[in-house]
Amino acid sequence: MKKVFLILFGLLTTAFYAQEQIVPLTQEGILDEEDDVVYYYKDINGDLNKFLGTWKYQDATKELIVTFYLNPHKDYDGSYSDDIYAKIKYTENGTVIYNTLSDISEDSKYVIFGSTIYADSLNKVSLSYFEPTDIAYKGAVNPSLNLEYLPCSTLGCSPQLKWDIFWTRNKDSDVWPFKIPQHLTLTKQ
Amino acid sequence: MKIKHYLKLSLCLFTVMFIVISCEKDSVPTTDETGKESIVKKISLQELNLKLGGISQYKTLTSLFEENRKGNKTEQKSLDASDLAWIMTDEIVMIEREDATFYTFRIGTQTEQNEFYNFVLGINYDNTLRSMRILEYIPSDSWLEDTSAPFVGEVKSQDNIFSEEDITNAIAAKSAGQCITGVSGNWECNLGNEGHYDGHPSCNAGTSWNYVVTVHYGACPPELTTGDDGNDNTAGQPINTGGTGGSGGNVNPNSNFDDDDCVPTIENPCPDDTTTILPPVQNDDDEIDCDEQKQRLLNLVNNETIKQHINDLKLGIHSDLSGNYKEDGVRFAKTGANQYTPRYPSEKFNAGVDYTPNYQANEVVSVHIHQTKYWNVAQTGTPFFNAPVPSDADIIELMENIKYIKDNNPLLADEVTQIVMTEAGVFAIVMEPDEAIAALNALQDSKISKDFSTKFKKKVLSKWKKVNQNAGETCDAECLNDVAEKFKKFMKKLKIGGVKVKPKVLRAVIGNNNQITGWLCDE
Repeated sequence: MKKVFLILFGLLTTAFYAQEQIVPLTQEGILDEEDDVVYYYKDINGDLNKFLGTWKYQDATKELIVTFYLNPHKDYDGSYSDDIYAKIKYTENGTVIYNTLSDISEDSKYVIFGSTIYADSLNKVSLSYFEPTDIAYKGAVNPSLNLEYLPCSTLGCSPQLKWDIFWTRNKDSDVWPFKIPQHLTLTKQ
Repeated sequence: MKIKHYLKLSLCLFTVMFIVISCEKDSVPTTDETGKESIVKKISLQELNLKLGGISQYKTLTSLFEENRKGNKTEQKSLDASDLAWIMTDEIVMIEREDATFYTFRIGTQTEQNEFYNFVLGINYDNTLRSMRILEYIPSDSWLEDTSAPFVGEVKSQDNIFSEEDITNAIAAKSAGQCITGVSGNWECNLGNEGHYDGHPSCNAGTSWNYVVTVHYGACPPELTTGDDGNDNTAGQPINTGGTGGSGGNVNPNSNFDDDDCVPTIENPCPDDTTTILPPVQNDDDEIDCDEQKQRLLNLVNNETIKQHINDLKLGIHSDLSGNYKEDGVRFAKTGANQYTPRYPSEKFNAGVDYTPNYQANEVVSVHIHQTKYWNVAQTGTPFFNAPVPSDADIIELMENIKYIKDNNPLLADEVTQIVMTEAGVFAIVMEPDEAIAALNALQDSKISKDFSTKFKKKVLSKWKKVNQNAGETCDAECLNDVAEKFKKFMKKLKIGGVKVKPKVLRAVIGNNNQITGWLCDE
């Protein structure tokens, strides 16, 4: 027993988060990871910052308000990433279809989240997309949301965000299960 | 001087006997009791991180968790490399009280002794650190014969583990200078009906139960605080805690926790921890043996029935109209020694095949292809590409198959094998049944399931997807090999909801005659 206590004692005195190896976020999926290293894919250069904040799309019948938040050091069961996640409010013909804007539960962080971003295309990020649709679907792959940041080119304008849901049907006859439009351009609020 | 101080703090030990005989059989359920949620919950490491991530000291603690330990076990920062200890996170039990929540962990050791250790972390209701202790359980011979019975043996406490000066004084103060002054216990079925054994009317709807232990702390007797060695000390004062009405689980809102010399009174009770006993799991040295698998898989693909089907299926990998651009597959039931009976999909999709029923007894081998590309004419005129490696859905399907076989024919559970043929090669996946089922259970939590899927996309498929989504680019041989390596790495480190799955991925060696002539396996 004494040995056990001594060992834990020794470990506690020296182990201060030292095992994590910090790697730029853009290296996730690129880096050849070593077996026994715990990686933290960190947004060292703040490449995700441009996506944060509130964005809005509105036309005659539809309105989508999306707010992106940073989720630093998200635990992915053995590795960590800086992630972003979104809270959404989608309205169609005056009816609110989804509204997670004021949801503070952990579940609300799992609707749209992720951080796949590459060094050669820092204005694009790919996220997992789990729209809480009531239409059951079984796709060829789990859906993704690809975002592209469109910076402002003239004085006084607002940046825009291209929104593209990527999902493929298992059969041509399958119904598109998502209520939020597949392709949108949102404006920074 | 410092060592003496620590040693003094560690001399807090009482011998305790749990005598539990048909406890609470005379309890009468009340309306209030039925339908309550259990105070005892198993939570994943991810959930724990979410709950405690805001506590500064917790980060220090996480570095002691098994999965965060860098390097192999013999390279750990240990004082004695032959006798290591670490905090295990395969099973974390959370017990909520009004004033505090307690998290119990196993402590892993490389010793083969009968005693075992739990780590109990106490968090106050205001989310501040309350206590961190190690409990040592020394089981009796009778309990060792039936470890499913309530624990009978000694309990000891060690609470100086955070008293090194590098750790904050506050933590040390909260865990120092106290002895176990009493232990009580009660049954807790999973509906929260304290004091009821399994099968009691109040527990009928329950499927499990726990023996909840409350460990009371108070001032150490003088004879125990003046010692100067670190050896175990026990005061032989057995305490009967079982069978008399569920006396455990005391709520203690006025806990006098910072008082190291606490003398308990009714008005001012001393601190107590509430925990449950987590005995050691069977040791996990039974990692899948690569050489055995290589030979078993070679025998499998040399079976005439299986070989014929593999040869037929592989024609569909580079799909064209004749292959209808769909996935395809076959499953084999083991019907005798080296005898396999095929079953075909009820429906084939762009990415996936359906079987009706999903799984069948003795069906231990599943083979399917990922065709290179497919079209969604309704969506676009350009092709989509199918993953050149087994997908996250394939991994889950293998786990489900293992669970089904384990439930229906456990002797075959070790033989469940998933073979996936793609343009990047032929992959076989096998898993230890217990880990596979534990991971599958963890995946029932939608957050864990979504994290798993997202992690797979990030780690395995993101680079390949980027290539494919750039018009005109395809994943060449080097790219395919890179994806295959990423997949193998992902599987090697695979952990789901804190469960280390430890699968083996074997890659087929294809001979000149385009047949499988062997298997490669990473040790």
